[in-house]
Amino acid sequence: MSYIAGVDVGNNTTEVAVGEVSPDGKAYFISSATVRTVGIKGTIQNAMGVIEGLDTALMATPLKRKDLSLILLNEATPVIGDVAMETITETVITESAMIGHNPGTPGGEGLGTGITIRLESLDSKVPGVPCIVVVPGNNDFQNVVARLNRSMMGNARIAGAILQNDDGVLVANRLSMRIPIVDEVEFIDRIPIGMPAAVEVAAPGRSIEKLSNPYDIATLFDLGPEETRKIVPIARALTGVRSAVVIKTPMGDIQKRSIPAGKLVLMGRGRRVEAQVEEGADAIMAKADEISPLEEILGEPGTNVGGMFEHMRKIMAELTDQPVRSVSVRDILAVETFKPQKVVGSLAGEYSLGNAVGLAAMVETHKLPMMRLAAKIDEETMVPCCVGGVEAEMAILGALTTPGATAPFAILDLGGGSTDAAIIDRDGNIQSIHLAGAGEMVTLLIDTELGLDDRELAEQIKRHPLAKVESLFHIRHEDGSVQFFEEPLAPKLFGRVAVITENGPKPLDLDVPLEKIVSVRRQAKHKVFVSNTLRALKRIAPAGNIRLINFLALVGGSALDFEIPKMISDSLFEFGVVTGRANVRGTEGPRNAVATGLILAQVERGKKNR
Amino acid sequence: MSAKPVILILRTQSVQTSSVEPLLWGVEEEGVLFELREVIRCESATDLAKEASRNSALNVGIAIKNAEEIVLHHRDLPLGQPLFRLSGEIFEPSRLRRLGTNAGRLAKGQPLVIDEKHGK
Repeated sequence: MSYIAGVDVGNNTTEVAVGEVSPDGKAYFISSATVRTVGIKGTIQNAMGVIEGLDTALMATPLKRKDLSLILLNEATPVIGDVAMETITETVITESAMIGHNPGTPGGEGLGTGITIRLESLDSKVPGVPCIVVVPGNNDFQNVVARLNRSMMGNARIAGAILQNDDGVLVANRLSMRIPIVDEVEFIDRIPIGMPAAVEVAAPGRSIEKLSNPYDIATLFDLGPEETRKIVPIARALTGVRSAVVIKTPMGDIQKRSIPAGKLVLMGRGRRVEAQVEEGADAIMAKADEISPLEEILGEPGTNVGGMFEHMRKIMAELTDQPVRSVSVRDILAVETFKPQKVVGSLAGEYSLGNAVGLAAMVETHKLPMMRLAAKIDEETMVPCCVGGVEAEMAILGALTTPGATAPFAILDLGGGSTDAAIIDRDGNIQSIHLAGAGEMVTLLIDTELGLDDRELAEQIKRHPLAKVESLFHIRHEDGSVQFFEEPLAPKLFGRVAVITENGPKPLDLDVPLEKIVSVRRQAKHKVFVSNTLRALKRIAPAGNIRLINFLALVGGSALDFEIPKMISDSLFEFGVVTGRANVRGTEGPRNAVATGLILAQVERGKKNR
Repeated sequence: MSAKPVILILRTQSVQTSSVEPLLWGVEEEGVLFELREVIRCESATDLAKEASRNSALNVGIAIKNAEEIVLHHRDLPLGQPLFRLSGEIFEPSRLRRLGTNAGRLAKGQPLVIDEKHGK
């Protein structure tokens, strides 16, 4: 009777399985554990995590470390992934030409056009034409009302107002005439005076109609065809808002500008092609396909993408103690995305959606120094430790313990840094592949598309479903179900969208509807995992035909996600592939496949040697 | 019980309407109706606010007691746990305005404005 442990050091988690090997060469699993990986995968620091994992697994048994006769370590594949974002368009306003935003409560309703005039000038110089009154924040609203009413009684024609303070409803309620009022305009000083302007406020629950249509703007300001072409970005930026202002300035201009984002040089099959990042994700992927399998990718220095490649090469070179030159980029995944950006020269802090390309890349080298780690663990635990077997093979052996699974059989390992796939045929031959882009890429996309600039928060949104806090005592989950609480919820949660974490609801400080966040989250997962699933399976499937794969099991951290497995299974349904989450040893779910495989492989080896 | 959809605001006799105006403006800017009533009572502001919330069709009540205390209450909250309670410099216009805004938003089910210094 002997006890052995299998240890799988991954990018994010370290998994341990402990097995008892009977004298007749059979393995019985008695315990397992999952802990966070300490340090970058493949470094000496991992030892701490490994020992913690061993102790955690042994705690559930009467065994001590010294009772183990062997610790097996995975032969980690020397790949690491990283992600970067390159913005390729931005909106620039020269001089002020528009305000478009969604203040909580604008005043009045309708459309007004006129010449912009300061509130102070209303008494002295009243133009003979309709005017739009501009009111800076140092004016008390009662004073504003008094002045406007006096002017309206006089001979001034007031068509609308723009306020800096949040007083739109208060002012509108007290005026003798009904005019549209846009409030909460942050940079009111930037509004040019004496220029033709239009103010529009939509009824509650609606969005503006005139100022979001280029032909209506052309009608209001008497624009020619060339000028109309120029205001198209304004109309687009104003689509869907509740209130807006457009100001016509002689020099004013709005542009959607392309930002040079550099180029990628892709090499493979003895060929070399260049792809401009600003051409978009699809163009990059098409070029990468053309010369697949990739041998090397170079990014232009000075760009985000170039920086990402250099960074990855450096980390890998340090990890493996090899010169930077010997590290090559093996795969990229480019994804089309968008990024809310502050409009340059905006008046009320408006955002516009810039196009962006998200890139995940993966570098590969010869061997990770797992032997060094094994020696370190050996020394620390006084238990013999050796490197047990290739990761993909071990994962398949482990996944095959899933009840109902048998060879020929494929697995898809959905991790944090890379998406890996492997297939085993009837004769036991195993093929595997590693692709760039996995959980971390999804986090990056969510972070970018919602404009969070907070990876932790994006990670939370990725991992947990959302709910809307509808009252002090109940929340409505994104699927529509309602949950009540006995204690009142915190005021900071009230009315907000919250992520439902293990520690209860956590409010999001975002002015974005729940449906929008859900859609961004789902699309991010879809873009990364579904496209990578198809890419990976095409390459390992017999004759490149996914239909020839009968059984597929999902393993790895992202297989635990609450919606990714369903997305993948939906996308493979048409190919007739039986897809599901692995249930390693019938108890572990999609976790612990490699650790389990290590022990099984050792037992097999023991039998052959006998 | 007020039949109209209003936030009910009770003030004790010694409180001038003019001194709590920013509170009323906060509610009005949110597009919510309110009703201000004078009461001659000696219960605590919390008790009065709770009573006001029970009599409000929007389930939201506010009470201003002398120049000491303002309480924002909701019908569903336990008596001893009002949503907000101001004391000290209660007639400071920006604090009053924010309380009014939050009363309106509470009635509408929209996110509240949390004071960075006190809240969070």
